[in-house]
Amino acid sequence: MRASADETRVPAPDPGGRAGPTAPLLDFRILGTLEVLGPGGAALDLGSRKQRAVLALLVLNAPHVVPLDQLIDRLWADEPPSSATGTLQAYISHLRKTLEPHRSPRTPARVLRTREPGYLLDVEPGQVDAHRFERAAEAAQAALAAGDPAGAERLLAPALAEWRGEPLADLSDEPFAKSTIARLGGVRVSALTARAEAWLALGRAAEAAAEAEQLLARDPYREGLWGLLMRALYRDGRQAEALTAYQRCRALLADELGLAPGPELRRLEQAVLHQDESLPGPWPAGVPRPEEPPARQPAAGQTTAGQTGAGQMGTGQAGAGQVGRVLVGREPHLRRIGERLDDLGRGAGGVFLVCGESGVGKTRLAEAAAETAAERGVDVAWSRCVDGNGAPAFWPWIQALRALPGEPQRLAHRLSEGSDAPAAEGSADPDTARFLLYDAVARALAGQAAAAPALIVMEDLHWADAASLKLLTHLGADLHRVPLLVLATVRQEPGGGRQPFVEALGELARQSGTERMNVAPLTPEQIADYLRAAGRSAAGPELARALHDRTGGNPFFLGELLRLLTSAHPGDRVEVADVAGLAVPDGVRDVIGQRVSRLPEDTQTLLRAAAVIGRDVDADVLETATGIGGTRLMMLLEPAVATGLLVEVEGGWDYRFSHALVQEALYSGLSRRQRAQLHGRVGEAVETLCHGEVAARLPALAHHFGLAARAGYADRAVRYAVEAARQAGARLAYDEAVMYWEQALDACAAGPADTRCPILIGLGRAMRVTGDVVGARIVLDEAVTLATALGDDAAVIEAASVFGGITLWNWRSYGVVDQRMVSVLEDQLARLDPVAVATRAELLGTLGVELYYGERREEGRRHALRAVELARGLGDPRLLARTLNNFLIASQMPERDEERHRAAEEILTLPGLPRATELIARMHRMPGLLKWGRLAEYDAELARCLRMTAEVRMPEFETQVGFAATGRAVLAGDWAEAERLAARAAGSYSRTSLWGADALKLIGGFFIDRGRGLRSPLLPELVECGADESNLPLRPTAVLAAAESGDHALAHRLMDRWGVAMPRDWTWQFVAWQWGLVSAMLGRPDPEDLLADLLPIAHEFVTMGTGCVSWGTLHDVVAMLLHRTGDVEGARAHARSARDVHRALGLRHLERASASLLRRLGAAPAP
Amino acid sequence: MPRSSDPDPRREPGSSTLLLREVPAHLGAAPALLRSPLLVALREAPAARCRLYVLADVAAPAAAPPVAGALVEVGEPASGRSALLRALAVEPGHRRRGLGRRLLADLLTELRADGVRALRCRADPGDGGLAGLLERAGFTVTSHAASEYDVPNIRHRAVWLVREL
Repeated sequence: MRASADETRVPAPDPGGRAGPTAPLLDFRILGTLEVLGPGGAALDLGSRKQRAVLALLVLNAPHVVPLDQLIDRLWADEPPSSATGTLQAYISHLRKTLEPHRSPRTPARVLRTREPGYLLDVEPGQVDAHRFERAAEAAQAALAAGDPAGAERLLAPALAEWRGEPLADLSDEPFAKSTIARLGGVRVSALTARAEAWLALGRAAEAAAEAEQLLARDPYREGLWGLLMRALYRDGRQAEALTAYQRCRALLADELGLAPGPELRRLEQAVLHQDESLPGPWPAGVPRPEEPPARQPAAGQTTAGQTGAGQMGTGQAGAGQVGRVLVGREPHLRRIGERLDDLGRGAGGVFLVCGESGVGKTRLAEAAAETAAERGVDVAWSRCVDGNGAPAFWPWIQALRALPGEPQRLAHRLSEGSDAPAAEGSADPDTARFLLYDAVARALAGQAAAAPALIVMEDLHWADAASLKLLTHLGADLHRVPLLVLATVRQEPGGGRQPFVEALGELARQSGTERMNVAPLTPEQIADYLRAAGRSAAGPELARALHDRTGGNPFFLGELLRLLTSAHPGDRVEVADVAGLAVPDGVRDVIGQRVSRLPEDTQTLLRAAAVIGRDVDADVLETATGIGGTRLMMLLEPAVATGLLVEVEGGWDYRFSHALVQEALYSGLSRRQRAQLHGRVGEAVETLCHGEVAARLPALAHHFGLAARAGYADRAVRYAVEAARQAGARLAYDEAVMYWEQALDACAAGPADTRCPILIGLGRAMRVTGDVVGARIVLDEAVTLATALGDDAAVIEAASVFGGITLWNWRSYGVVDQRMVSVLEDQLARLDPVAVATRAELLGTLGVELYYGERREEGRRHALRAVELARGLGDPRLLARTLNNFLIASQMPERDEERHRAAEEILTLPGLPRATELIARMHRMPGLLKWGRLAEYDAELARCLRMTAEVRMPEFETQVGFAATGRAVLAGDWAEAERLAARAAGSYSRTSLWGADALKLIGGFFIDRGRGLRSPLLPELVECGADESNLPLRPTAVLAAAESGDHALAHRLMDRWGVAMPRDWTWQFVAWQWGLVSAMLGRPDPEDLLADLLPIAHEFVTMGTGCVSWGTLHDVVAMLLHRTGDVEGARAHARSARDVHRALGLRHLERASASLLRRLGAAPAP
Repeated sequence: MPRSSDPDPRREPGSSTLLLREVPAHLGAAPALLRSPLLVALREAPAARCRLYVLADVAAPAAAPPVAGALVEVGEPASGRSALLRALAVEPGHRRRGLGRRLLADLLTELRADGVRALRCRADPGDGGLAGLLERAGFTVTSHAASEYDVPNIRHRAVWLVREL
């Protein structure tokens, strides 16, 4: 079930896959000179003495792994490890060719295999003559003991015939061979003795006696042989010789060793003397075994072959190579994961974040979770996010969906192919498309999970692309009621990570199914457990402490350090002093660097090039990029696999760095120049290998060429980044699109204007979609400049009219007119071909918006109106929606509310409306509903907009709708809710670069405090913020705050300084209301003037812009102003109206305020 | 193996990215900058049996010349698998960096993996430090070359060196 999981810890493929014996069987013979007989029975050429020694070591340990370090230590102790490893590798490589001459270079070796921490000979015991012999010897002893001498003889005759001379005669002076030679010699003597016993039992006493004599000639101190000799001679009727034999033995033992013969021999002598017929039979078990068979060569670092030999030849021990496999100190984590998996059975899933520093063992936990899940019948899909930008958008999801059965697989295809909608280019509706896509994935997963609960493991979520993160948060909202658990590993970095990632974490945290689990480094006690579990039982607490000091308890670091120490001291035990004396600066990268430096130099070079490719290494790409052949590539990478730095990917010939830190350490060891060059070569390799099928490889191509741009690959860096940006846009991955456009821009640097200009336009458009309004402005301004300089009118129009796209708010900062853009637009309009009506409508609409904040506002409104007429004439609904929207912004004037309301409603009647356009039109319509007190309609629209925002998910909309919801809560007097919504809206606001975030936050905060009857602590901030000319709409709020706090002097000073302007723009009603409140208190600004403005609209409700602050009806302030000017009756009438309206709408706090005002008016005489 | 291994001095900044590559052994393919000793040798050698190895920087522009190279003639398997080192050259700008040693070591690995059992080389007096380089790499002098060089007052004479693999 696991897709592309980390193969390091997965056992080798099932031996069932190998039908019968691998190749025709080879016969390994060590009873004599080292020999290997091929399938035809001919001896193979085993090469030089060193090469034969390598093979001999592997044969002696088969089928267990012989660690690479041990091979080096045994055979090249005095050479530097780097060159010795190279030499060893050459021999291994050639031995493979000899042993499997017909294997194609890309088929994995089956006889001489690589397995961390070294190599093994994967053979059946029966393929080694020494094993056959020993087994026969044992069987013969058993037959003899069972009283079957004939059977014993039959077994021994062919077994003894296998001996061609001294074991490993050609390597007998190698220290590693000595103990084996001695042991096999001993077994042979036992076998010969057993055969002699069998002869004796079969009545062939003379032959037995002769054999015993021969054996004694070689080894005279074996009493058992003397006994055999005595019995054989006696049975052969040679009692005298039997007694002489006893005397010889006694003399020998006494002279040489000062011993007397043992009791058995003495008893035998007596029996001979007494002619005892019942002369003791064969010695129990023939002769004493010479010695306990010594442990097979390597003591440490042995691992079983995993398929053939385990059990037949004893099991290996956990050694240096396996230390990384132990999962210690994670019991609570595993328990919690188990509980969450149990929850799946109850239909509850969620997002489970496993967080911790790099190397702390997050992936190990994820693997344990996957194993547990599989045991419980939960489907497991494994996916991995990739560092850098080399992977396509949605990559982790594509992997996960592919790994699950059923409907999700089809969705994987949709994610990787993208939708057909030419989204993000402005023509279709990107937001709907994206929502539908996310929704389809969510439904497919929910459907599949309902059929069979599932676990999706997502490794390295911190590297996920923004599109994938958005999909995760979209999905996460519902997971608490879907039996699907997404377990993601997250690397914690001090900086917190990239923006989309931080946002996603924030959003996930608010979802009820999300849980975050931190994985801490190991304590010294846990390290002690770890060492015990790794078979280093002798390790004391001091060693654990020393290792903790060095590694900070990071398990990966710990494993690497132990491997390095084991390499440097093979066979020895690692001591505290070794750890303390290690001349490394603390840091796992240095440890990895030292391990790498022990490999052959060409291997090091290849690893560095591989690190540029990434954590996953495509062997074809590496081969093409470095220009060496596949066979040699595999040979050179072998030692890296054997030492565990690389792992082979199952079912292919690709590789993968065993840990991200290994790849990072190698990559960081390269200079910038080297990286750039290598990225260029890798990019070229990818390009060559995709044979024109570029689409799937665009992210990788853009990534590699982007990083190689400064090394002469700028053209391709630009080209692929642009293509990748377009592709990301088409796949609804807008943040990625921005990233690729930026990359393209960066790569073309000071490139020609005609290259740069379209990139700037693409970037501006993509930034606009993601909500980065200011960024888009800057970029598009530059595009206009460049296009103007180029005389490219089409490009100028394209860039300039992006500003006239459909929005709720004016893009410009408050009060700013971009004169340059105005003249650009006017210039284009003047020169425009009269037949280009649609373009004229776009330009006029845009110009209308651009003129809004200046003297020519009314002219702008007329331009926008004209644009609407042109669009209507063309009958193009999309253009009509756009121009109507232009009009809505260009005509934000107090007296135009009804016209604007109608315009918004007209947009909503248009066919095929993109979701975002619809949302914006509804939002344009809402303030009118509020002002006119149509609260039921307003609430219905607000609910609908909130729903749509959840679908469209652009920060800009989240902010705007959020503000509207905040204002509604203020109106209802639900202060806590208002505060919560305001904070949230402010949060999403900060992700856009729209104007006024701080000002709006302060205004909202002040009125919430005011509604609660608090003296707002925000006064100083309001005053400070108002000092900035661009925050003009905030000034009346600051003055009101000062006045209501009782500091009338300050209020006056502020009015002296700032004036009491009431620009007739979108802020007018809200500003006039506040001035009214101030005036009622201070008599300034002039109450009569304000009454003239406010009386006609006394029935309206107060609201600001999108509705971020909404207060009750203006009757209240009119009442106060009338009271101030002496019209007490009028004042009472308005206060009464206010109270009644507020009561009718159920606005309790406003009703109370109006009622209290009415009481005060009743009591107090006019001033 | 010293107890505390020294960090590789070339690791920062920029680790070594040199790699041995086999390139087609014909006159047209030989890298321009190596033409002197290698091409001369290639002209004299039976091209079909020759292998041209170069040590090149994989992190250098693709057009950059290799830093060192060697030409090896490999006998038929029947001939006991010995090879003849026909030429070995390090680019002048890259000498005294241990590249000759590196190239030779890589070469030995390559040949060994290919089952070659011995590498022979004739070092002439004009070959600079070649004989020394070979001797440091474990080559032993087997015989002095033909007698025409055997002039007593010439200290350096051409010698045959061999290294069992």
